Amino acid sequence: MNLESATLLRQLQDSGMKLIPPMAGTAPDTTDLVPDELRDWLVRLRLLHDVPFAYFVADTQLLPEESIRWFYMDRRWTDALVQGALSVGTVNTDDRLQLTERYAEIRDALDTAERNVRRRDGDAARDGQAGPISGFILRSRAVAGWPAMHVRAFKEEPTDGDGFDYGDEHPQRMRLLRLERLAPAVLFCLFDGVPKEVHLQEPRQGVQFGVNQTLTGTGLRASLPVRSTTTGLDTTASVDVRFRPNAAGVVDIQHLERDLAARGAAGSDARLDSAEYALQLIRFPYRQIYGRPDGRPNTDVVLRPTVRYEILATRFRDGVTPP
Amino acid sequence: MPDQPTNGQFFLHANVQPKLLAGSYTMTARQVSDATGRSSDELAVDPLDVHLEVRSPRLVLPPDQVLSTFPPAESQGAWGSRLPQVVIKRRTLPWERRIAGQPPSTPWLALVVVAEGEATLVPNVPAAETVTAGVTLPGAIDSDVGNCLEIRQSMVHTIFPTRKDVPLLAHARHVDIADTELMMGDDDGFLAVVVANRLPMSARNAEGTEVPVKYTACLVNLEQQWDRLLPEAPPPLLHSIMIGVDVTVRVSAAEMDRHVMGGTVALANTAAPFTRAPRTGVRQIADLQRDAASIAQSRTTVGFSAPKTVKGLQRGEFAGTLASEAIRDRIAVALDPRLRFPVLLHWRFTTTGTATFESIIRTLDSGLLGTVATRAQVADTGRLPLELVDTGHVGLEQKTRRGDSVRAWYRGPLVPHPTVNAAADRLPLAHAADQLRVVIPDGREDLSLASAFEIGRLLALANPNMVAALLRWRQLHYATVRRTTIWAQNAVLLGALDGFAAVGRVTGGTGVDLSRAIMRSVSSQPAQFLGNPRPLVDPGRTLPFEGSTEALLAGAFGLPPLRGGPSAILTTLQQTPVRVAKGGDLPGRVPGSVFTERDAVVLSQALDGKLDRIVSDTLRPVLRTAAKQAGRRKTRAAPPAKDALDAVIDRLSRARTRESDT
Repeated sequence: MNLESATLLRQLQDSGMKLIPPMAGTAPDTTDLVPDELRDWLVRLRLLHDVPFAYFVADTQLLPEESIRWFYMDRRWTDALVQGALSVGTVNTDDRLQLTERYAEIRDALDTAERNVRRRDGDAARDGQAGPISGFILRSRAVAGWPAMHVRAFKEEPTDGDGFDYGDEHPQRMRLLRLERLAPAVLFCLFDGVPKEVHLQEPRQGVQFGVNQTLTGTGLRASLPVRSTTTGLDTTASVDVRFRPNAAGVVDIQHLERDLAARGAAGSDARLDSAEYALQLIRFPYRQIYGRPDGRPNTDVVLRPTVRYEILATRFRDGVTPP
Repeated sequence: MPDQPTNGQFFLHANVQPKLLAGSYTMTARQVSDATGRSSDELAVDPLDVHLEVRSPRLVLPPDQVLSTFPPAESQGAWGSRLPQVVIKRRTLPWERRIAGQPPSTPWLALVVVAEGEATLVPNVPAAETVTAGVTLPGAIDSDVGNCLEIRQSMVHTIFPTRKDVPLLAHARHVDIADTELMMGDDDGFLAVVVANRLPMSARNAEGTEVPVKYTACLVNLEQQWDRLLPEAPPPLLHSIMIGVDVTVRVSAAEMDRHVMGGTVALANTAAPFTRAPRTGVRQIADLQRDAASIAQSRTTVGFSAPKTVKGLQRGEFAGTLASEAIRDRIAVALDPRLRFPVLLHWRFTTTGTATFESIIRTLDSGLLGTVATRAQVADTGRLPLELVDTGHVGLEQKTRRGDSVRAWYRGPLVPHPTVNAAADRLPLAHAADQLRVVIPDGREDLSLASAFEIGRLLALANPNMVAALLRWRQLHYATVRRTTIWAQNAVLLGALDGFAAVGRVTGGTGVDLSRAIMRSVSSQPAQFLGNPRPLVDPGRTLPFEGSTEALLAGAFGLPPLRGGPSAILTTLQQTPVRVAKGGDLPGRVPGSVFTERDAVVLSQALDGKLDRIVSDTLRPVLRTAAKQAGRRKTRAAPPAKDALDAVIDRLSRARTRESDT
């Protein structure tokens, strides 16, 4: 047997280093103690996923038809919910001692994870203590009839425009923790904080044409506010929409055109062309704003149509080649 | 080009006229030359004809030309206050064909909205049959088959736009190309829009409540059938009628039999009792004289004056028979011919109501949870009034475990007051729901938190994955604690390792860290961790020289102590058996053979090989080697214990002694 200490050590070093590759990120993380799947599930539970609706609203009179109810979230209640879930499998005293030891850590991990539950890739992660959570339950036909309603919450009154195009990370926006239809006509929404202002907006589906309707005993009446041709704003004048006899919903377009022209909706000549007619009919998505002290919806201001009249037919004839 | 719309702007144009209408063209080039002394015949150049065809969709709109439809296809919603529209990518499309006798601004397309039962959409018919019999579309037709709308002339007059309406219902829209929502994937932001003339309203049943209606929106080609449209709208009404879905047909069974068998009952007479006196403003779909075809498709409730014994099946048959009778009526066909219009595009949607988003949202009852409705509620007879307090607690019936019926307080997670969220106010850990039951001063229990605990437990139990994850996680904790304890016991050794920070927790990466630290330590300080390599030969043991010379000598020769006089010694020697080393004692030897020098060489070579293997085996697992070396370092001072090698040498030496003895 021939062993040379120097050779042996060199071989040892080589083979040992080869066998075990260097590993990155071996430092223990504070959050990796709660497994991801468990943490995600508990966070969902804390945001009341899967909890039967009767536990939210104990009596129908608390949420009548066509109502919106605002609330704060009771942390103690959700803590109890999580504790109940964690109590599964605590068989003996050791298990309970162990759970007691770890509980504070779990709660902190959930507090952090909860705030990032609806975070999209690229947004900054938030951490720290859980703040207050508020939200609303909306029970209305509007939820069923207008799927994908827009909900925006703001920490303060939007200063720049109507705030609708603010990104998720805009400092004035408040993050939504949950927005879900619990039933076809029940919308449940949770905010990460207490918002100053909440906007509910009709889903935007491009430009829409329409009228304002009222249902009467004998049928349906509709009217249309006359839109000023210079400012693009609705004027106080409005015209009644006439319908063709014996035809449900068929609008008498000519009559409408004449009425609109008589109220100054026509441009240069006394008749409306199809563009002017379309301008009058454009409806903008309605937005309800909660949180303003005066309660006035500011749709008129923020959704000002900036539409210009332009008759292009002549221009096209004058030498612009159409595609 | 006109100005480009900027952010938030779009321009509307009444129409966009194409340079060339769709159709076949011939371009003729002629050259006229002129030269002195030459006649024009001699210089003649043949004219050049170039044929070109401007194509445009006529029977089928290619799907890529449709940017959006409103209401969305197959959608369900309260669309009653919005005019359906279709947005087309090609901005000139509605004006690429000309209606004879009409100005260029008149589009050849119209979007009509048809309620269920008002007309029939016939899919995939040959191109020639997509128009009413007797009408032909001149020029090239883009498709062999197409869809068409089969509709009665009277219905055309009812729901189609009038000739004066059509030009107002198409326009072009120029949008900002940065606005993706308005652009909808177009390339230049210049679009054509065709709007319908009808609000897709919901229907009303006999009780006056709204009922959903299915509509089909069809983009129809009006070429060659312009005169089928109403020239001008009839005097309008201020109220639109609503579609009624309730029809009561009163026909006695006997009368029905007679009608089916003999046909003696005139249709007019039969039809009269079909429709109830129409209520003002409500149109009865099943008005047989007007749109008979719809009866089979609309919801018809048939009520008979016949005795109750008439079965439901029969009733259905009666209704069906009456409907088909009505459809077959030749007179009606003659007066009210069926027309066909090519349909370039169609989609369906369902209208559920006429309420607008605005009207609904504005009238919402808004308040904090715990506000009792201000509006009158549907009477809940037989219920106790809601017991509600300012804190948001509700009094509920509770059946206790003992079976008593009492009232308890409950409040869900949603409360009408701001909540405290500081860590000190958080709920301390409870292990059972009963720990969270509270009796409040009024003597009743507050079960809110206990219910929360219970539902949390049940939800976790309902999810086997979560139960497994919880148990796994708990086991992981136990394992961590165990590892950490062992860790602490080996703190001295671990502290000596170079560059290894002893941390409180043992994680999956710790093993790797540890082995690398040992490698580092061993290679940097081999003397500390491995010690010097073992010498090839251990020094011999000191021989015991104690006692008398005789006894020592005798012992060395393997003899009993020789005592007494020479005769006694001789006797002892004689009685002692002579021991001979036999080769058979060694492994692999034939019993009885003699141990030779060669055997000794073989043995020592085998021994060397074994030693080599043992040493290399021992050194391979780094961790174990290091520990062994470290351990050996401690016990170095003690004299080496007898090992296998020593035993063999002992035996050999004893055997040789015997041999030399003999």
